[in-house]
Amino acid sequence: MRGTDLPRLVAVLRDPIETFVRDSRVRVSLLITGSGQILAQHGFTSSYEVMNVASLAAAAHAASRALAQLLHVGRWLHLHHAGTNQEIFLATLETPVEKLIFVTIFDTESSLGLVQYFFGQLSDRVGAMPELSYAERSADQKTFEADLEAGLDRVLTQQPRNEV
Amino acid sequence: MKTPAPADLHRWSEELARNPASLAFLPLARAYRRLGRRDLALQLCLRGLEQHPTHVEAHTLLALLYFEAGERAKAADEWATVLRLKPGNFEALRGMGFRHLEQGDITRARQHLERAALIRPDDATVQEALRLIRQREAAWAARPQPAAPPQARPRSRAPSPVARVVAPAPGSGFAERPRPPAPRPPSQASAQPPAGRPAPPPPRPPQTSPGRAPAANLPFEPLAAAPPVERHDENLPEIELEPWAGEPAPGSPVGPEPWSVTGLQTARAVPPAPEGPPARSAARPPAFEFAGVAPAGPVLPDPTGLFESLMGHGPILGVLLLDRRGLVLAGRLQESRAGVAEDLGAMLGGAIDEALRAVKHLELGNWRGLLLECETAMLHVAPAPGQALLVVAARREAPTGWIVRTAGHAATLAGPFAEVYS
Amino acid sequence: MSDIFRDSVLRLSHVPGVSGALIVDVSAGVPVIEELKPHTDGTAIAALAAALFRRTVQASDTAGFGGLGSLQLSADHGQMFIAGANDLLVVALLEDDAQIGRVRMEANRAARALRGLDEANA
Repeated sequence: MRGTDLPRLVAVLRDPIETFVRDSRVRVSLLITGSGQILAQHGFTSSYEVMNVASLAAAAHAASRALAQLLHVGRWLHLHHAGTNQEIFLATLETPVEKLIFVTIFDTESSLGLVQYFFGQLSDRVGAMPELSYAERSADQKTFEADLEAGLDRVLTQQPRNEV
Repeated sequence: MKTPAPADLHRWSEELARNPASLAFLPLARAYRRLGRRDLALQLCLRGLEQHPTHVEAHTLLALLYFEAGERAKAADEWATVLRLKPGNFEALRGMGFRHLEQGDITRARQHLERAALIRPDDATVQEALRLIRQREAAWAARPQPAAPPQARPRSRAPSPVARVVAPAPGSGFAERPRPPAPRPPSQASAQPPAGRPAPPPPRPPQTSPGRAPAANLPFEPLAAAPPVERHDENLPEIELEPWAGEPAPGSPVGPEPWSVTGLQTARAVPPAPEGPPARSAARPPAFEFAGVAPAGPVLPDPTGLFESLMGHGPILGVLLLDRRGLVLAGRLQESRAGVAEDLGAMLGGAIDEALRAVKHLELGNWRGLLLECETAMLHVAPAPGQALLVVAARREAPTGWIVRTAGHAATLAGPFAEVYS
Repeated sequence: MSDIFRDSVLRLSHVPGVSGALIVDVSAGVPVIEELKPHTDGTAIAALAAALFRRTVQASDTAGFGGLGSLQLSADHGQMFIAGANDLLVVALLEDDAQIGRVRMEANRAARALRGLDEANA
């Protein structure tokens, strides 16, 4: 996704993400492209955290996709890890231009069922956005890296609204 | 304290998350109390005191939280701790003064309140309490003398640790009343501090000069240092001090306020005040308001008695009217559960949020009610005018249909009140 | 899948006016087994019922009324009945004209059976 598209996409994705966070009462959430560009986030307090989670989420998604192909199951609907106090949910959002990866971390204020349910609504909403039907892909490595940084800057300079 | 800004709450929370030993727990706890979240304020105070066990302001706030929750004994324990740490603390002196007054210990009440008055001479509640105590003592002194009056006993410098029961003179009309043990001399420290708290600082030597200068750090002086006065409290008649129970005092249009000393005016040996009891505000007054202090504003019905016509009937355990935030507006639970009404309101607020979310996403329309079947009770929660909530609690064996009908009656009673106050 | 699970939802779903009968994992908020009429979203019912029950349990505990056995949510266009069975819930989504008395009976019976199963396996 090109850096020139980012401001527009970040702006339109903020509201659906915040609606999801408010309804599901998760702690943090992150929406990235398959290549790790950050499109929206909620609840993170530093760029270091966001970048780490984004890169690991992209890697986890790639690994699970490879596993699905190996097992000939098509694609996974979502990935879920349950910890002692917190859980992580990772799923893909299908859009006309590319697959987006959605990551969210939640605790006992929410549940897997709530996250699944409200993610379904988020997915329907994002998938129908006209803004995501014509974004251009990054052409070369240099442009790609500039786009990556631009995405992170754009997202982290938004006024955080961390009320859950 | 004005309503805390969300940014301040966030800042204090962040600071506390980074450093659990931070003193930010105190403004955060005060803010939560201000917002009606006493449960959170209490937790913050207790945790903060684990890190800072000698923090006077934290103990003072904890005392206030306990007092507001109806846990008077715990509040007194905290005030006593404050006085060990800072003997001249006004709030603790006043609190302990009222506590002793409530328990009928006039001597100790007077001692604490006199010290409080030295620190803040213009505090109306303290002055009024002292006036009533002096009135009471004057009436006692003016009582008809029996044929063989009991011997006046001057205070000894070293009070005996053994309790003495003084038999009233024949014909005095007052029943013998066993007295609690006299206070130990200062060298014998009072009860051990609770676990986790530091030992109290050693008491200062008593001041003997009669002209004590008012100061912020007046020591707690034992009886030995006070001017010798006749100790007559052993033979005081029964003092009827009414705790806050929502029951209207006989003959009064409204119920008693917290820390009311109405009983001092109605005890047998005390003639009624010539001007009569003033009109009292029936909206729940602030703590320490006295009957003798005429409140500002109109006289309003006692909110805890709003559903009295339903209480005491069959299996009803209580009826509460809550505002949209879960704060109790009116009604009460039975005495055995009176202290949990506020907490129940807070938790039910969260449950109703979930109910609203469920009806919204399941497209069930507006919610009409929630019926909870618990091990020992049934609760019916329904919306009331003004975005309020009406809670009816009944014993477990109560018929479900009857509870729902009773909730309807309660809604009729609550309607006008909820529209004004919620 | 245990017969108790299947039998419970089948009996409950056959009560007139029930549009969905589920057994739900209370902490995950996901269905374990469900019987739903068309266009009834079991994922939503499971998640929202579990969240409501968990939050209401806190209120019951706070007031000292003991454990929460069941709750019934009434609204303009329907009701939801939830009975607790340790880590599971028996949930019924009802239309306006449902026979609530029979629903309560069947749901409570199912909850007792599930609790008995738990105790037998313990």
